[in-house]
Amino acid sequence: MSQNLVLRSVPADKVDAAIADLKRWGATDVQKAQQPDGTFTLTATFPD
Amino acid sequence: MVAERKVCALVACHLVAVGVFFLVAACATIEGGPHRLYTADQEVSQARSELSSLLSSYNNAGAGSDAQQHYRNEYVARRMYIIDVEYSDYEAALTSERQKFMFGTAVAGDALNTVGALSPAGATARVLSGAAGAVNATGGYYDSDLVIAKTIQIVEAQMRGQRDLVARNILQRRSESTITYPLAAALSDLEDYYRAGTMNSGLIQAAGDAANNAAGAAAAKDIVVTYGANASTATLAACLNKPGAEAKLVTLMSPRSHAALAALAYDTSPAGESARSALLAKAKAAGICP
Repeated sequence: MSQNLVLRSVPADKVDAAIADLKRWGATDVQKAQQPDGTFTLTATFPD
Repeated sequence: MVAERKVCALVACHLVAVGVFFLVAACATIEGGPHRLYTADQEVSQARSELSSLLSSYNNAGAGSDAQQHYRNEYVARRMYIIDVEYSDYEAALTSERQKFMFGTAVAGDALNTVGALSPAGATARVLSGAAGAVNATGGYYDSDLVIAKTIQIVEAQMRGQRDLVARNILQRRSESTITYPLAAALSDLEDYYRAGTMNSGLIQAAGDAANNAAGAAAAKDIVVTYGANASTATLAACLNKPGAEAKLVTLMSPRSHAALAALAYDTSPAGESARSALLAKAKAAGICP
């Protein structure tokens, strides 16, 4: 089983660092989606 | 001769019974609702007549202005109303069709069997019994009819559910400006709203229910947080970045969840602050973090 962490409203200049952190902390996959307001939503999948 | 007359009388009697069905078909339970003050066509015609002026007002209003938002919302609401009225008619017709179908097949079968049982042996009785047999022989069709009637019922429920979902999305976005939710996007949502009330959409939705339920259950497990950063999140992130610290920290979580642990590195809500403080205190006591 896996669990998703949905991280909303990530500022554009923080996206790369957040993705790197999430992967370092065990995320097997991180998807990013830009929102209309210019921020990003990251969806990180963690194994449980 | 007398016997044949009796049979004819019985036939006439049961033909009347079948005829009654067609009269009953116009009763209130079949019709499904009270009469309207205005017909659906009148309602739609009235609402439609105002659309073009609303569209012009929308186009003439300043881009992103409150006025433009107002006209967009009015336009969308009218279109939704038209779709609602048309849908009411469509749903009522579907329901009526289903009810008539089920009632009609039951009455026809019963009437023919009764005539056959009461008739003396003779050509007419044999014909009637044959007719009843033929009707019953088509029991497979009746079963199919039942399945169809039930399917219509399920599809109606699915269509209602889908329409509510799309409507909620549209209504939630009414507060957005026309910059982030322009009329073109609203029109696209209106198309979704229309399609949600179609037989095809209902069938697809019914077929996909199991998959949706599974996905819904999975989504319920998702942890959703809004990105935040402060001194406390930085402290936890620094600790998490120490080699081997994440695996140790997760053992302090209850339940042990890597996703929940990562969420604490960004969650600046009061609940997040509280949980992070408790975790950092435990981690310090365990010698994992300074």
